[in-house]
Amino acid sequence: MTHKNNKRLIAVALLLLLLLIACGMGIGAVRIPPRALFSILAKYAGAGVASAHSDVQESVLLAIRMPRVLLGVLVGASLASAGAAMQGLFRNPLADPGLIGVSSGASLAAVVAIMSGAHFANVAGMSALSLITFTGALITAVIVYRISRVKGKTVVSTLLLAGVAINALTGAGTGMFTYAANDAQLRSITFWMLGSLGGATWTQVAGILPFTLIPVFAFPLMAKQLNALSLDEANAAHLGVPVERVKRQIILLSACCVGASVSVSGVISFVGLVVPHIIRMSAGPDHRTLLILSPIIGSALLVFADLFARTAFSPAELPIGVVTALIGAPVLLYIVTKEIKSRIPF
Amino acid sequence: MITVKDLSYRVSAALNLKRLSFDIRPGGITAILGPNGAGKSTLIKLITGVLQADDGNIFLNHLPLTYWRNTDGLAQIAAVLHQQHTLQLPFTVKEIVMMGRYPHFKTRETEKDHRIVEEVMQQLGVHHLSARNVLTLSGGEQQRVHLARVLAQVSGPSSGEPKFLFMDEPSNNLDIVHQHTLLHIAGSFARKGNCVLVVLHDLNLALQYADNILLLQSGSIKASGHPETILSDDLLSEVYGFPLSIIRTPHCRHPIILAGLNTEHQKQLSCNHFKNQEQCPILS
Repeated sequence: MTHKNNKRLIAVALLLLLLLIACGMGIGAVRIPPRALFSILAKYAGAGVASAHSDVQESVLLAIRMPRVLLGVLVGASLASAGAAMQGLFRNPLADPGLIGVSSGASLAAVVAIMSGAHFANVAGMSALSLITFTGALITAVIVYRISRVKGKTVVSTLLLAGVAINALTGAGTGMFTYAANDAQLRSITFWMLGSLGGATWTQVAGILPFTLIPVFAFPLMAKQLNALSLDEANAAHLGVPVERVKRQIILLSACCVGASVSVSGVISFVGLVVPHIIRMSAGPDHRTLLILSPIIGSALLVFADLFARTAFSPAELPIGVVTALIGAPVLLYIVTKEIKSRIPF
Repeated sequence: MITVKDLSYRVSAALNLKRLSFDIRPGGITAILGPNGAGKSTLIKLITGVLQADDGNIFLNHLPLTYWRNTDGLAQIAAVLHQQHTLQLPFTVKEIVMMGRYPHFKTRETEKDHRIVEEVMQQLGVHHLSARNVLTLSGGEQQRVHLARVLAQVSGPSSGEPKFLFMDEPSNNLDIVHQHTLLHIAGSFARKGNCVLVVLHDLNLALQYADNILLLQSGSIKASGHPETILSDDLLSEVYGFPLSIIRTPHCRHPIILAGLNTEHQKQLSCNHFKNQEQCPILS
């Protein structure tokens, strides 16, 4: 029964995502109506459809809109999937990928890159800023993970506390560099911290593709294990879950996809926290559905947020982190108050 | 078949499990008894691999625990109920019970898994709650849901090898009907040729249902064997540090244990339990 409903939910979510992708590609200073969109896509698919678009539309779509929307899809899917997996692993609905230090480590690395001027450089088409922040994200995640290993076991409470401590430490580092920054650097830092999909390129899309897609498709394979883990680690082990292996894989995969996302888009808050909550409200806590719906809804949310960010006050652009927080925070408040009511019987 | 050989584990300065050895044969319920802090839960955790022994060996069906730990086969034949449930996510009752079937299917449950889950939910009286959010249930109802989960895990056709059911104080929070239902179900599971090892606090439940008893005191086995042959007023009073009397009445197939009927001899025995005689609650 619920199983069938969840299939329908997944179909609806996919349709919503496709619709938002079409909007994201079509709406802007140069409008590309669905007919033109279709005509451009048909041209590249090699189908002989009568052309219904202009050259300007074609180049705007291919060079600007498409990579930007696709980047939004990948980043949104990563953040939401990793959020759902983390919440399952930590058995805590407040967990978020930032907890293992990925975002703060990436921030520190980004600030260092901006301050040293390295962010203007390019390595094989990828901006040095992306490469440096990705490295920073992975290094902090590994440090946090190593600290939490005691006698060959990952102690989740230590992992959380180590994450908080490392977040504070990298935060202090970031603050120190920010203090020493000049006005131009300060502006770059602030914009990076608030997140943006502006200036997306095909190279970026291709660059993060493996790092984001592999985790997003791997997480649902661990859904049953995460369900069992919600009982607790000992009980999951009694249900045949290789607990240590699952923990290691989830931390590694999350660090990988969140690190890749942060490296191209900056810090985008609240997606990883809110999306799994929204889904649990309608589809229940079963990770077999949650880990499939999360990337779809996460992508949809980010594509929508980006569309809003660049069109609401156009030609000015809002930082996307501001938009996701504006949408996410009230939704979270609503869910939290409702959840508390449902937990107190009578 | 469970074989424990020279098992040692240091919990704290106050509690050491010291070279425990015993066999548990399939076909009956074995109850672990003993006062708080005797090492009952620790023993269950050692046998189920949650804790690792400092020394000694544990064999399940003649294979060492280290062998079982490296396979996923153990979860198909052994289920464990611990004392505390710390679930935070709003799973439904049926989803939780279905988790007991996880070791038996890859990604999606089969018809057979549904049938078994429905059956154990009926047996434990949680069937009418099947679509409810577990977090909104009372303590006793939640306990029954988790009991249904572990029973579902070891239900279904047997391969001929004994299966294992480990329960740490399963009667926690249960009302009288469900305490007896539970032990009744555990008993019939055991009689199909399986091992049931259960920590009990209620001595009368143990006398009524257990085929075998391990009486623990400060980390050592004080007595083991059939309840009616090994238990005596003196032994119980000494181990628990409180006067306990075994009463036989013609109305009842099993003896009954009553607490607090003081004879001078029992008082003395109870107080031997305490190093400092003034701590003895009976003398004060």
